[in-house]
Amino acid sequence: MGMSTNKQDKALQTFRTNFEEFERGLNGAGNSAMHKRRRAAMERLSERGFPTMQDEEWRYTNLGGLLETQFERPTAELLPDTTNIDPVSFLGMEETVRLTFIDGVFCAELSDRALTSDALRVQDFASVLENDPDLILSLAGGIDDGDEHPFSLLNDAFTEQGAVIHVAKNATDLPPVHLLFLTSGGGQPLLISPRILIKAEANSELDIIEQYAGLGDGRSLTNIVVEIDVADNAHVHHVKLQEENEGAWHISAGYARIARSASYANHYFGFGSRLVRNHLHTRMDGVGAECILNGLFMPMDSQHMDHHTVIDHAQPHCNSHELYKGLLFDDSRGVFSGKIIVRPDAQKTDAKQANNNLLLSGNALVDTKPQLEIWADDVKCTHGATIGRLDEDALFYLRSRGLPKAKANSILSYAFASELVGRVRLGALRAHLDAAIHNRLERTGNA
Amino acid sequence: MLEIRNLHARVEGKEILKGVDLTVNAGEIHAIMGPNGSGKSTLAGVLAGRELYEVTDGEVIYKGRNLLDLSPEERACEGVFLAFQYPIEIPGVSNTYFLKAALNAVRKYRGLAELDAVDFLALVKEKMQLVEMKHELLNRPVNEGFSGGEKKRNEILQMAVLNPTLGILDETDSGLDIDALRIVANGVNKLRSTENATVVVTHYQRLLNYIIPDFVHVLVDGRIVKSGDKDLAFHLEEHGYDWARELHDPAEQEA
Ligand SMILES: Nc1ncnc2c1ncn2[C@@H]1O[C@H](COP(=O)(O)OP(=O)(O)OP(=O)(O)O)[C@@H](O)[C@H]1O
Ligand SMILES: [Mg+2]
Repeated sequence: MGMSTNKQDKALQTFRTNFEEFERGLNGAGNSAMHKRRRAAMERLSERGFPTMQDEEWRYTNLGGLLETQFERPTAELLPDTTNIDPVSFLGMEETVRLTFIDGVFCAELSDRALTSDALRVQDFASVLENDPDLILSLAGGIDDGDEHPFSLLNDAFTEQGAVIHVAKNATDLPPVHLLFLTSGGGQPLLISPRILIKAEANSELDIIEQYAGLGDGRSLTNIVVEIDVADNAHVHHVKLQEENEGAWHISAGYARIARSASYANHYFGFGSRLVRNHLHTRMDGVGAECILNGLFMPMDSQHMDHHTVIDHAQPHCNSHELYKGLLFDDSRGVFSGKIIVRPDAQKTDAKQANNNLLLSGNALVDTKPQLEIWADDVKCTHGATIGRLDEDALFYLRSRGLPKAKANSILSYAFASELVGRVRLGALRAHLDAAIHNRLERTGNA
Repeated sequence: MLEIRNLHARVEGKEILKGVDLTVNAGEIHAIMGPNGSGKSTLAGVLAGRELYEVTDGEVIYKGRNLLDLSPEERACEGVFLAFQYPIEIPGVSNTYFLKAALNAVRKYRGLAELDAVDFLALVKEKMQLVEMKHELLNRPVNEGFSGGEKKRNEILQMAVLNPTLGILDETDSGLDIDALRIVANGVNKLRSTENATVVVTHYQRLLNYIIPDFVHVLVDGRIVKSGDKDLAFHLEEHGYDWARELHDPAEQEA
């Protein structure tokens, strides 16, 4: 252990120094209930420490480079000039309610003004913390992870920015909410710790798009926590786009609680960052709930993309559907670890999980690890994982009709990836995703 | 147009073609018949550029060029078309998209302007009438869930759209009902011209009532052991392949 423990300890020390500095800047707010939470999280993180590759949950992901980097908390002085940034251009969707963040700090000029109606309240975390801290305390930390995720603790310790979204009872036909996180990636490596809290009250319906994009190619760590509470018979359609530059580390933890007859769909699309680690934990807490997890990741160069999902069936008659696809180029690496838990009460569970991977280079690697924990007897659970290459017969068929090899690769790759695009509800978003996939195929020489 | 000389090829280390000689001129139709496993599809695959088959000896001259030097897509663009014995299903890729991409790739290579959606559709509609194909098949993924006959018609549709110089039809008649057989044959005949040539691989003399060949060749154990006119097909139908096998020198088989 010696060396690696050292690395973890040193990183902890860096973050503690940052934390102390953060505390000194808080003045009077240092005694608030919120800050007590932060301090407790910092203490728990210090006890637990950062993971090593000996930790079963982290065995495929080397955090070495991240832990050796001296990150700093972003402050207002470090913010770049925003005059040349067009926030619409990142998604090309006009009809959204948008909050924009730069290096995790809320940017009012690039956000929509009239964000609050009775049906939908979209607020930036810092103002809610100032005006209604109890709301935050009531929404945050409601979902117990079981095993505390060290980076969630790190986020807890540094939380001061983010978004709070509240959808009123029966509110439907709302405009999609777009949370745009831009990483400036300038000088000093930055520690960006946003928190997103979403509450959809009974019978409501929400579309939310969480997008990460880079402005420069400097180094940063985006370490995000998203908490979602879907009340009875409510429906949340959540799309996450990961398009940060290759200087960025991206670590996220998402927790969703899905109540009776409610549904939660999470569609993840990963293109960016040098290293991504997503942890997504959903729990069906009411009878007849539904959970849909779709993911597409397309790493190139030496990108590393690691996805851990946990789907917890705690009540009877719940359905879960999970499909993750990896399309890996160059020297990239992918990880899929998907756990499904079916609790003793969760009879009549229907759970389907699939992870399909295509390697487009002899140097790309993927590890896939399905895990089923089934404690009930009357359940339907299917899972399957594949790792393969583009079908030679299909490639030859296309080429025999005159299509160049690179184009044939691109057509087959796109066909593989587009299944997940087709599952996204918003047409404008599908257009963005199609373009992103084609862009990735072009950049990897498959066009 | 096509000259195959002493062609040897193997697959997975096993020699399949053991010296094929065949000359095809523009305007001609050649039929190749032969027992199962004799190497007919291997020959077709070698001509289309399937990398699975390793050419170990001989040469293939097509329009004055060494065909074996070209990639599969270059061969297609130069006018070689193989109608597959078993057309491949490609989930997630619509038949229209595929056809349009292929046609435009070929047109681009031939120095022609690419067709836009409107002109393309007009062309496809015209060609679909030729093979009496259901319009809905255009919007489905390539060959996915197509019936055997629908797949074969789709091959001929692709051939009609791409307008090849050398069409190689590998058992396009297998799995077709009588009506479909006539339709497909009709399609092939309409595409026939003095500039192009067709090689049909078949097991049945029946097809040759519709597509009348100038030459019939019998391929046995990787060699053409007998060539003749269309009457040779009747002879085969009646007597089977045993007599043809005997034409094949067993001493050479060992070599
Ligand atoms: N991919 C392969 N791997 C191993 N053997 C192969 C492969 N492809 C073909 N062969 C063998 O090569 C021989 C010739 O096959 P080919 O498909 O050319 O025959 P054919 O004359 O077309 O037969 P049929 O009339 O049944 O279509 C057969 O013995 C076959 O098993
Ligand atoms: Mg055959």
